[in-house]
Amino acid sequence: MCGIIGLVAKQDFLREPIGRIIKRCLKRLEYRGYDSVGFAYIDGNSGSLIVRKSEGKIDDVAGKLKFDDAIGCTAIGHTRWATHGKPSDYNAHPHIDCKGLIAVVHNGIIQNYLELKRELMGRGHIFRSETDTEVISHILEELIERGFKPLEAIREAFKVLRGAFAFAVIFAFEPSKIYFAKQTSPLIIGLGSRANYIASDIPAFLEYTNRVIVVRDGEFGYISPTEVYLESLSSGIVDIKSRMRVIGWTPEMAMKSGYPHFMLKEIHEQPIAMERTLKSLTTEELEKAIELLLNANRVFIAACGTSFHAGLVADYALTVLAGIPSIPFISSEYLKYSNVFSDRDVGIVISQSGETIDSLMALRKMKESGVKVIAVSNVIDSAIPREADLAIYTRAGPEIGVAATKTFTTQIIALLKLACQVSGSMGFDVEEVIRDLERLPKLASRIIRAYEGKCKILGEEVSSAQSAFYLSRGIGVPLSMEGALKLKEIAYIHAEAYPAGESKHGPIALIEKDFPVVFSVLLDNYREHLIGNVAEMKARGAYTIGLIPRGDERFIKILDKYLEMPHVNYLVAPALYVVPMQLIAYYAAVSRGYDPDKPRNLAKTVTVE
Amino acid sequence: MKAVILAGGEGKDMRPLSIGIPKTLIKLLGKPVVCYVIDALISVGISDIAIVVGNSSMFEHELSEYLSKYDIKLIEQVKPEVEGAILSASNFISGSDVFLLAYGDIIAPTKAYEVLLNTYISRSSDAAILITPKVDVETYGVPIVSNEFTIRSVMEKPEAVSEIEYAVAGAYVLPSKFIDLIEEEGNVIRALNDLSARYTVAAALWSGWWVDVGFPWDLITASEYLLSELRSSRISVNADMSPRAVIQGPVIIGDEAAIDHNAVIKGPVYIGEKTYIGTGALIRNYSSIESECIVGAYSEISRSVIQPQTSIGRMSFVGDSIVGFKSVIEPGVTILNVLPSGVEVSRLYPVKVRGKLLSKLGAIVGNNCRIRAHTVVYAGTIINSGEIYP
Repeated sequence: MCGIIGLVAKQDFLREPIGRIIKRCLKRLEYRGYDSVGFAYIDGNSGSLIVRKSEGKIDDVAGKLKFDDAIGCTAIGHTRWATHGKPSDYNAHPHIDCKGLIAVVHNGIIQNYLELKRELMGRGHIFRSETDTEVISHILEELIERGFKPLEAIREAFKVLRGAFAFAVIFAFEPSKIYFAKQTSPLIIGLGSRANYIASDIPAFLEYTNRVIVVRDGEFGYISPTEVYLESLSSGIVDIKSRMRVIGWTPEMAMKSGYPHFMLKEIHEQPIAMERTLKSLTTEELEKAIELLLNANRVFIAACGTSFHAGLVADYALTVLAGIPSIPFISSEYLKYSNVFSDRDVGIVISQSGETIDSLMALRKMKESGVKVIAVSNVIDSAIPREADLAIYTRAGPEIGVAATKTFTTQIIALLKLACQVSGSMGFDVEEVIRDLERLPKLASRIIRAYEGKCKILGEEVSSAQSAFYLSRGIGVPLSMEGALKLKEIAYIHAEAYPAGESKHGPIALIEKDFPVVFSVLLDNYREHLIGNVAEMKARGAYTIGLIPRGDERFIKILDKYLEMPHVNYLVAPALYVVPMQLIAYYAAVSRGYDPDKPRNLAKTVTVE
Repeated sequence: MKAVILAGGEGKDMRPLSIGIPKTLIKLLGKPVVCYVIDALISVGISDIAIVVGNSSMFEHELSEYLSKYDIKLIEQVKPEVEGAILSASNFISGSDVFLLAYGDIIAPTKAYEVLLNTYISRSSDAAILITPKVDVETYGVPIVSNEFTIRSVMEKPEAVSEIEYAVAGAYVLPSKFIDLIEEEGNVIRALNDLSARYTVAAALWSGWWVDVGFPWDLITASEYLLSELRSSRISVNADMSPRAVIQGPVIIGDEAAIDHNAVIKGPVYIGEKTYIGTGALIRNYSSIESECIVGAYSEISRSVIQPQTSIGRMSFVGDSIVGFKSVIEPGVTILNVLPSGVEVSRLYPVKVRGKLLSKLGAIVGNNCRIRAHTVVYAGTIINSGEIYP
C-alpha cells in the first residue's frame, strides 16, 4: 500500500509553496505507508520538471526534501510502503523516464512488470530503481516518442499493464495537467474552485475541497486547474457531473476503508494478510534461515509484547516439529543471557515495526557475541532486519491500530512455515501442518463471518467484568497470553493467562461468581486434561467461555458459552483461535466506550528502553 | 446525494402501539423515531431527503419543524409493501446516479451512516449495504458476504442460517437503476440479489449499537442506548423542580415539567415537557417518559417507555413496560416484569440481576387504554389499544 497525491492550481491561486501543500497532504496519507517520500513539480520559474525523493518518514526528511522551496502550480507526491525493492532513495517515487520529462507516482502492484521491464531494457531504456513503477514512465516515454498525445499514451499504457494499480503522471511538456489511471487500487478526484486534486484517499485533500469524484476501475483521464476529464476503457467518456459527491462528514473516519476503527479493519484484513504472507514465503526465502537453525548450537528467541507470544508459538513448534528447543525471552531481559551468547548460537528477533528499541538492544548484544540473527519483521529494511544477518518479512501491510492483530497472525504463519521447513529438511513429515497453514486464510475469513455476532455479545458481557482469566495448555498458553493482552491493552480489563494446570497452584483463589474464564481447547493431547480444568472453574461459579474443536460434546455440556472452531492441527490453531479473541477484546472496548485505536499510555512502536 | 427514508410501513409487529399512529412517529426521548434517521443524514451532509409515508398529514404535523427548516419532501406511498414504497420515490430519485436508502425505524448513531458512505466511497464500489453483527439473525435480512467483504446475496428472515452472524442494517447506497430492478423483479430481496450479481456491492460493517424498532420492546432497548449516551444533565429553567427532589445521574427534564417533593429520579432518565412527577415517586434508570404525562404520588417507574399524555395513578409500579399515548393506569396497579423461565421472546435479551439471568418484560399497553385500579398485570401481557383492562 502506498499513498499518492496530485494537485494542479491556477497561477497565483496558491498562497503558499506547492511543496508545503503536498507535504501536508502526504502527512495525511502516511497511514498508507511511511518508508519513503517523494514529490515532483513543475517549477514556477523555469517550467522544468523537478523531482525530490528520499527514504524515511516525512517529518524526518522534510529538511532534506525542502518542501517549502518548491514553488509552482502542478505537483504530485507519494508516500511509500515497500513491496518491490527495499526502501531507498532510488526506489522512492516519483519515477522518471530516461529523459526526465515524465514523472510517475503509483500505488499498487504491476504484475507483468518483469516482462515489460525486460522488453524495455532490450530497447535501451535505463532503469534506475528496482520498482515495478518505473516501467510506467518508460512505456509512456516510448508512446510519446511514437507520436501519441499524452492522453492517448495513458490509454495505450493502461491496456498493457496488468495488476492492481492507480497512478498519476506529470508530463513536463503539459505543465498544467496531471494524468491518471486506475485499476483496483483506490483513486479519488477532488474538485476545487481554481484547483483540482487527485489522491488515494479523501482525507488527503479534504481540507481544500469536499467535492469528490470516485474514479472507478478501468477509468483514466486528466485534471487541470479548471477541468476534469474522465474516460472509461470500456464505455468511453464519463459524465462527471452525475458522479460528483459531496463529503459532509469527518475526514478522520474516511481513512479506514469504511470501517469504524483501524483495529476492526485490520482484524478483517487478516485473511488477505495471511494469504500474502504465505505466498511470499518460498523455500528459497527461508533457505538460509533453515540452514542457520539446522546448524545452531542453541536458539534464542527475543521479542516484546505480542511478538513475544508469536515467539513462544515458534518455540513450541520448533521443539515439537524439529526437536530444537529454544530459549525464548522478553527482549528487555537480555542481560541474563549476555554471558551465554556464543558464535555458534542463532537468535530469532521478532518485531512488527523492526524498530522496537528493546529488541534492537538484545539483537546488538547477540551480534557482539557473534550470534547469527534472523529478524522477523513487517517493515522492509527497518533497523532490526538491517542489522540482522537475514530477514524474514511478514506481508501484513501497514498496521495502524496500536494493538497488534494481523501482524501477530502473519508472524505465526511465517515462523510456523520456517519451523516446518526445518523439520521437513530433517526428514520429518510435516505435510499436515503445511496443509492446515495453507487453509488458514479461508478458515479465518469464515470464522469472522460466522462468529462476529457472538464475539460482540461476549465482548459486551466481558466488558462489565473486573478481571478475566485465559487458560489453556501447551501451545494454547501463548495463544491465551495474546488473548489476555488484547483485553488488557484496549478494553482496560485486567486479564491474565496461565497454563490451566497451574491455576490450582494459586490463581484459582481469585475465582468468584461470574468471573470470566476463557478456555482454548485445541486438538492436542491436553484436551482431556482441560475438561477437569473447566469443571473446577465452573464449580467455583466462574463464567466459562470456550473456544473448542467443532462437535466436542464433553465441552459443550459444561461450558457456559462456546465457539466451535474448525478442526485444524494444534500448531496452526493459535493463528485461528486468536481471531475471535481479538474480536471479543475489540467489542469489549467499544461497549465500554473506549477507542480501540488509541489505547491510553501505549505507542505503536516503542522506541525508549 | 439524495436520500429516501422509508416510513410508510404498517408496523404490524409493533401493535398495539402502532394503532392510530405510524410506528415511525412513536416518540423516544422527545422526538419521533424517524427523526433519528433524519438527524443522522443531515449531519453527514445529506439534505435532499424524501420520506415515503402512509399518511402525510400526520407527518406534516409531527415533523413541521423539520419540514420548515430543511429541504425534506413527504411522498405518499401508493402501492403496498417496501417495493411500493421505493417505487413511490422513483420520480424523486430519477436523474441522480446513486441514492441513499434508509429505513425510518432504525435507531443508530450518526457514525453508522458515516461508515456506510465511507465504505461506498473508499472502496469505490457501485453500491454499499450497511450490516451489523447479530446472533439472532432470523428476524432480519441476512447478507451473504464474500471473502473480499462484498455482498453476494441477501436472504430475508431465513429460518436457519449457519456461519453468518450479520444482519442487514437498513441503510444502503444504491444506484438509481435499482428502481428498474425492483420493477423487473417485483421484490426488493430479488432486486438486491440481482444488483449483487451484476455489480460490486460493498459490505459496510457497523460495530456499534443499532436497534431496528420492530417489536414494542425494541423501544426499551433503543431508549436504553440513547439514554446511556447522555453525558450531562439538561434541566429546563422552566421546569418546576422541588428543592427536595433527589436527582442522581444524567437526566433530561423538559420545559414546564414539574418534579414534586421527595421524588427520586435516578438517571439516565428522560422526562418530557409538561410532565408531572408526583410526591415521593421513584423514576429509575433507563425510563423515558414523554410529554404531558402524569406520574402519581409514590409510584415507581423502571426501564419503561411511556408515550405522551398518559397518566399513571398513585402507588403503581410500571417496570420493563411500554405504555402507549393517552392511556390511564389507575391507582395501585402493579405490572409484574419477570417472564417465567423458559419463555423466549425474539429480540428480548435476558438481563443479569444479582448474578441471575432474567428475561424481563412487563406489559405492552396500547394507546387510549385504561387499566383498572389495583389490577395486577402479569409479565408479557398485551393490552390492546382502546381496551379497558381487565
